[in-house]
Amino acid sequence: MKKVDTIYIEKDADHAFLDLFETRHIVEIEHYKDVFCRPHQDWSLQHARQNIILAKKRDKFVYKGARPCQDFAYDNFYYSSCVMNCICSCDYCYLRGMYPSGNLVIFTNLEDYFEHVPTGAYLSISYDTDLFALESTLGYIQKWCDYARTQGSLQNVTLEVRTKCKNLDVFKMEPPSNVIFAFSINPQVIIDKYERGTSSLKARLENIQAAQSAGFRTRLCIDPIIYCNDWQDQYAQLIDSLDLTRFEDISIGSFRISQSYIGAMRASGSVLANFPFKNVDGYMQYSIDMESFVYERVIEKFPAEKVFLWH
Amino acid sequence: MALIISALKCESIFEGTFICGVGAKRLPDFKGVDYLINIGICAGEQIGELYEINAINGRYFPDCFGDFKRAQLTTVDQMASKIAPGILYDMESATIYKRACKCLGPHQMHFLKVVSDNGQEVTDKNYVQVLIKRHKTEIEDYITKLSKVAPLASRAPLAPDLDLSQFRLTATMRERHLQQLKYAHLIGVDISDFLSPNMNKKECQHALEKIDEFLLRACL
Repeated sequence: MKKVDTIYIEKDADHAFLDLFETRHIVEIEHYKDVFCRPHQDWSLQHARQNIILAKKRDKFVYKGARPCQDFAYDNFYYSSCVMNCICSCDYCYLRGMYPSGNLVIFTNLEDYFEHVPTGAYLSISYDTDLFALESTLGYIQKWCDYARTQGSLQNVTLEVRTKCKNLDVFKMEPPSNVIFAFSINPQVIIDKYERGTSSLKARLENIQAAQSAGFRTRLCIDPIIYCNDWQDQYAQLIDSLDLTRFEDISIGSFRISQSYIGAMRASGSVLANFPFKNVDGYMQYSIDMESFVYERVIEKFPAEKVFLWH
Repeated sequence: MALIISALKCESIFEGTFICGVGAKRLPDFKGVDYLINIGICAGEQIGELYEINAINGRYFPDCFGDFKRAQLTTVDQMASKIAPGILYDMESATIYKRACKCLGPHQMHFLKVVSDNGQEVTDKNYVQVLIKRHKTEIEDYITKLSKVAPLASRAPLAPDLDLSQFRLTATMRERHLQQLKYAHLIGVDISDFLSPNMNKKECQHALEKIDEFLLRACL
């Protein structure tokens, strides 16, 4: 059971969720924004001792994908946030710049999301969090997959669950035909330096292996590509260590972040975000092209038409 | 800078405490304050108990860092004569929070309350002093803890002060170099040799590009 210092709970939220956590302090609130959107919060400090806010989602259950999100050629690309914020602490994460608080918001009325998924949608359900890291507590992936098999299948909905965390229990269920599991990987040297709280590369590869062996649809995400001195060697070794043919498709993207988030990210103490990136059309990026190198390496072993680039 | 606020002189057990009066009639300028601590008495059930407040009037929610008991508090205009179970009552916390939150975050505002009564007027100043002083060591420990937590990553200086006016930089170049300096400071490298006051703008531009290359190589 996850230990938490304080749980804030909306009066309308499902109070049964309190049983999922060990806490000494429960504070009842009217609306999650009363706590989550307080002015002048310190994201890093809160994230380091993350409290939980249990809330009821009332509107905006799905959002249209933003430009830096890859849409994988799906016209109806949406994402949803049944959890806001992540228990991992990636140095480059846009959540540092997007959310005013480092606390975790969990919406307890997941079933209401299912009623708001547009027909024919390609819906990413783990964008503003990593549901794999929370699955043993919340079981939300299981519930989304149950939805995908039934109502979602009738609505021609495809779900994507993206993760950097190992949780082999997820793959004990029957693989849904309309759910893609997207695994983000990076060289271990980058994970060590910039992806605190995530699983090691070895564990992520075990996760992928488990998913593929059990017959789940898998996507490889070499995204974001992060610079290190021997980045060519590091990413070449990473790609060479994988059996790419077992993935349905591959996405590649170098680090980019909207200029509207970079200020808050820099203020949050992120070392990487403070790098003097180039601003290209409103997105902060490295001045060197790493994406092409990775792309060329990948298409040596994988059909180019199934590789998606951010640019 | 730490700012300790109490409503009454008899509640102020630390030197330099700002006395705001009953109902927080006088409040200081909060600019430059790293964190504030409001120490005072309140009405409640457990007389003598010290609480850290995690909700005020159901509207304000200070972040809590202490190992004290926690409680929700209601700020009232007049002395509370009836008290609800589990709720504390005072006459200034909400006003302090409301005013201070224009400058300070919830992690920078702390409210420590000692229960003095169950809803009766307290007139004995010595009694108040004794009640609060009983917790002086705990509060001191808490202040020490805050001083380590409160100068936050976001508030810590990211770059040493440097006079950039000596270089021929446009406003854009200046912004770019400031970011280079911040990053260099964070990763612990020195880039002070790249720019010189003798350089013209074109040479400065070239130097900034060299710094970018240097920082890229230095990052991991």
